[in-house]
Amino acid sequence: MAKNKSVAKVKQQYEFLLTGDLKYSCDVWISYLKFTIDFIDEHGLTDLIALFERARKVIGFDYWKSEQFYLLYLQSIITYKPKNYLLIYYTLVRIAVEVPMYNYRVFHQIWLQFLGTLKYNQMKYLKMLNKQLQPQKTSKENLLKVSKLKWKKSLTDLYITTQYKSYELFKWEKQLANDNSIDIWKSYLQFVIVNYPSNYCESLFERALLEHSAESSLWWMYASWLLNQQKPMAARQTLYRSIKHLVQQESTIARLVDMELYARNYLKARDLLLGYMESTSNSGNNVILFEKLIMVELVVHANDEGYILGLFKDFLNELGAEEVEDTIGYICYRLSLIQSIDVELRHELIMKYSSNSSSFYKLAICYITQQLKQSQPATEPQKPNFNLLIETYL
Amino acid sequence: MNSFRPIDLVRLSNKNELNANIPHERLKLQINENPMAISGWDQLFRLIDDTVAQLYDKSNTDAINSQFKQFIHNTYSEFLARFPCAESYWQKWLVIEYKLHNDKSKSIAVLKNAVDLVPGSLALWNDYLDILIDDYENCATPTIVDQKLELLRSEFPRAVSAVGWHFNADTLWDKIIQFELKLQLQSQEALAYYKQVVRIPLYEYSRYYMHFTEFIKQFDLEKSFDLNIFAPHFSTYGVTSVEQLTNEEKKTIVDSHYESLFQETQKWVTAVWPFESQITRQFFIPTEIEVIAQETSKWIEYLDAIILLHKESPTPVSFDFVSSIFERSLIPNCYNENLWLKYIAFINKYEVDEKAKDIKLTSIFNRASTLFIPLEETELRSLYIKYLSSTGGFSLANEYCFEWIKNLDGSTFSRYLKKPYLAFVGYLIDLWENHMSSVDLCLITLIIIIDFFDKVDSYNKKQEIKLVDSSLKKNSKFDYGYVNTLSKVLNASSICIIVSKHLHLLLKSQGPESYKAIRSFYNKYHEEDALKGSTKFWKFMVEHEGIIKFNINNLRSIIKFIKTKTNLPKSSVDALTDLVYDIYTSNYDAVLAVGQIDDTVVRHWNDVDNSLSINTDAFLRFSENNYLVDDIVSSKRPPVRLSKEEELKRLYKLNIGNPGIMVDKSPNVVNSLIFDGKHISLVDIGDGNNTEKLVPPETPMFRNVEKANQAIEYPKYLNI
Repeated sequence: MAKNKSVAKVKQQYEFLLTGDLKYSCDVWISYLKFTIDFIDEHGLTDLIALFERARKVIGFDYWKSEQFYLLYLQSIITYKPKNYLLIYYTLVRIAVEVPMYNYRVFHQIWLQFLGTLKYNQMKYLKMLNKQLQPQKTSKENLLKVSKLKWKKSLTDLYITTQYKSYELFKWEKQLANDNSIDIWKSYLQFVIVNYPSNYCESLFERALLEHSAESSLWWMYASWLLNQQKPMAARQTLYRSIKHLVQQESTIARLVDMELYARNYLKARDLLLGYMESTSNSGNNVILFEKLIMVELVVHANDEGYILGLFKDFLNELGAEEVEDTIGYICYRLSLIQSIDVELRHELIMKYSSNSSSFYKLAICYITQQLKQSQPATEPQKPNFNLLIETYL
Repeated sequence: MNSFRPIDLVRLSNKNELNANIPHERLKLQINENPMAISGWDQLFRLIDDTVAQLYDKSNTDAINSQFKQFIHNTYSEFLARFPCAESYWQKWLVIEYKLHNDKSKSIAVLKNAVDLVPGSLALWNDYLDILIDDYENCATPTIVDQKLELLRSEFPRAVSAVGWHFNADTLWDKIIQFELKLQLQSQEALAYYKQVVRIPLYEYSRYYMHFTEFIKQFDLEKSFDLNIFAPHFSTYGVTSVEQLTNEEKKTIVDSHYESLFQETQKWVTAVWPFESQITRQFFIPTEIEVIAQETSKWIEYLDAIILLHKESPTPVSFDFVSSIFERSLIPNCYNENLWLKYIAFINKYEVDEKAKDIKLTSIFNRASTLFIPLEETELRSLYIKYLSSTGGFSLANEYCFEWIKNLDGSTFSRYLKKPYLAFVGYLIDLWENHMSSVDLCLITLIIIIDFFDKVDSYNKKQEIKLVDSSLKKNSKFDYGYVNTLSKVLNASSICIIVSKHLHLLLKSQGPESYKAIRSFYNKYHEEDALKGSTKFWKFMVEHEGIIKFNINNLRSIIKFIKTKTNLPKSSVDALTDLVYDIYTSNYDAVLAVGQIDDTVVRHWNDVDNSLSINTDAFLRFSENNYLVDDIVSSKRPPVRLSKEEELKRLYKLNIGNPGIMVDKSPNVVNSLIFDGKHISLVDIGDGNNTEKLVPPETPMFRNVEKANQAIEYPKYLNI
């Protein structure tokens, strides 16, 4: 009993590991599977296969290590012979042969051996007999022989196809083996996104993230790709996962706020933002976070223009004179865009900083005056002042 | 240096007339490919020199055939039209012209042309006067000697005013004074030149002063010098007229007058010496463009310092002096637009005589604009338009604009120079805006736009134009012919300038109701190909719907169109997407109030991504505007025809692993077990509660397996 208890505890530990970011680690999975096989009891077979299936979804496409996984899987099926083990075995080999991987030859050979040992009944059961030949009267032996030959040809074609794909991917894998840089990963991912189905891409993204978890651009690429797959929830989850790996978190928090608002989780967005602002020092002056705060407050405190304007005033006051002009200019620009505050009030606040010469401030002035008076009286044409224009060149 | 010059607007030698079998004509053909490269020209000139040296026979000028003579003439004149400031080539040319024709008048003609084109060149003036003097002195026919003297006497003042202020102009002054003294010892002309030269800060200024003081001893001072010199001293000597002064007294007065002038001159020489000593390139040498460019800043420092001196105590003398330094600096820096503008600014500010100012400015503008400034640089030319417009020359300004537009639009000149062409269309519209009310210009631009786009529906077009036209003619004195002229030279890029102006004018002139006109304009024209590529148009629309008339629905459809249909550069789309994102996040309450699910905000980072696999809207946009895709789609018939997007996807797939090299047949399993996106579960086979029973997988089927080992077809230019 004590042994069972500790086995259960170890499994629990494995499961815990696999809920986190090591979920896609081949090493953890294989070690877990081996451990489960080592301590298998008489009822454990169904659980084992279920576990293998879980693992296959996650690490079944790994270029380097899936070989090890499939071998282990096949080995277990031969050893424990679950119900219908022949069909499972056959289907599994058939799947493994298609996966482009470094050692793609192995499963081809396994299947050839497997084919060689099959008997007429087994062939029939696996529906591997060549049906086209059946109408003619022919002996079982002959049918078996012809079918096997036919299958060999088919296997060769499959071999060529997988080989081609493996070589294609090897271009990147080779580069990555020498130089594990983010750019190569991105180029690799782009190739895979265009040519492979989404589950394959997903596992490659996860593999890349195991290497470069501190790279925000990779997380963002992943999230953007998930959005393209119409999976906004998964994209959001991915960004939540990314936060603890990143040094610069502001922009990811900001993007998450966008996503929470899109999902209409207004209060969650607000909590996320305020929680982050409280936890980090000096976030009061952060422009990105302030932008998002305004966005959230616009939703939560809609129709309260005094409150929003107050936020702007406070922020600008805290900036003080020593802050760079650009920041003040940018904040004014953002203010000029907010239509729910009365234009006169916005204009008044923006004009306080009229000595500002940054390009964003000029834009703010341009936008706010356009809103202020939407029509100008038609003025008389003015001739250009040549003297003034040419003076600057002297 | 590899930009186009005004000379490129004139076709000098026709390609077809040149024969590639003749060595020098073959070289000329090569030069035509890249006429700004000096090495090719030098090679040709060397070849010409060698050929002439071989064939040259002093007694027989016909030893060289007239065709070759004409070729040499054309070559030099084309080269010097391209590099007018290259003095040494002018000198080469005049020698060779003399050799070929054994006729001095040919060389004189060359030099006369040279000093007209480059009046600031001391070396060319020296050569010119030398040859004229020589011609006069060796003239044996008494009837034309006087004519030649007259010519000389008329050219001397021109030379003096053009290069007499050159710091090293002593050679010129010596030449002139010596010539006059040779004719007559007590020459009044020589005295007049002396009076001028002692006031000029020359390198050898003191020598002239010494000569001058000696020289005037021969003259009757009272007759030779102006009363103004004596008058201030009458009270000192207790007299009331010049006659009452003794000769001694007159001499003292004249001496002290010129002594003070001498000191003034000395002051100027001291001021300019530090600058003059630093400048090593006084001439334009085509091979030393980089050295010249390095010295430009020295010239500018020099000019700034001297302008400052002039500003403190402006006199006609110092004005002439500064002008002469400008003229000199513009020989090596003749392609420098800013320096020309500085010169113009100086004349504009410090020339007091209004009439002289106008003549000078017009001449400088014309010289710079038609001879030197590269075609891509339009600042000076735009200022000339403004100058004309501000001095009342509206029609002149129009003609000037049209001339340039026609030159640059590709119809007369074989190449279309887009940037300056568009700039001039813009200047023209600005010019009109300065001369008529915005309501009128709004109508005019509308006529032009209708005329441009509605070519098919000509009946309605005519009706509309008539309507607008009649209301316009009543109000305006504007020459309607300009509108037709402009309509003829517009293209898909320049119409966007007119559209953008029209929309701004609508906004300005129609008051609160303007949005109706703007929106109907958008609905009518936004799918025009020309506008799909106009950043200005789309920026206007985004700002109008997002900021001025805040309407989130319109904004959404506009940005969607921008992202998926337009032909804008990526940076423009990104900037507009950023702006829309800012507008959305600043008004998220309004976005939610619309009620529709709007993913513009969450998809923003996809929309600005640089990868086509992530940025799906950009993918759509490219498929709309890709000529390869257009070709493929139109070449296929409906059953196999794919949509533009799918066709681009196919192309993209073929390219992505190996950009630029199409691998169009990769082997595939058609009924793949893993790559169709489904996951076949192997769990719980045969259990009662399993609804999906595991069935044996189908026999695999293949596509393109036989082509897996085919050699890749590399493009020919790769030479693999």
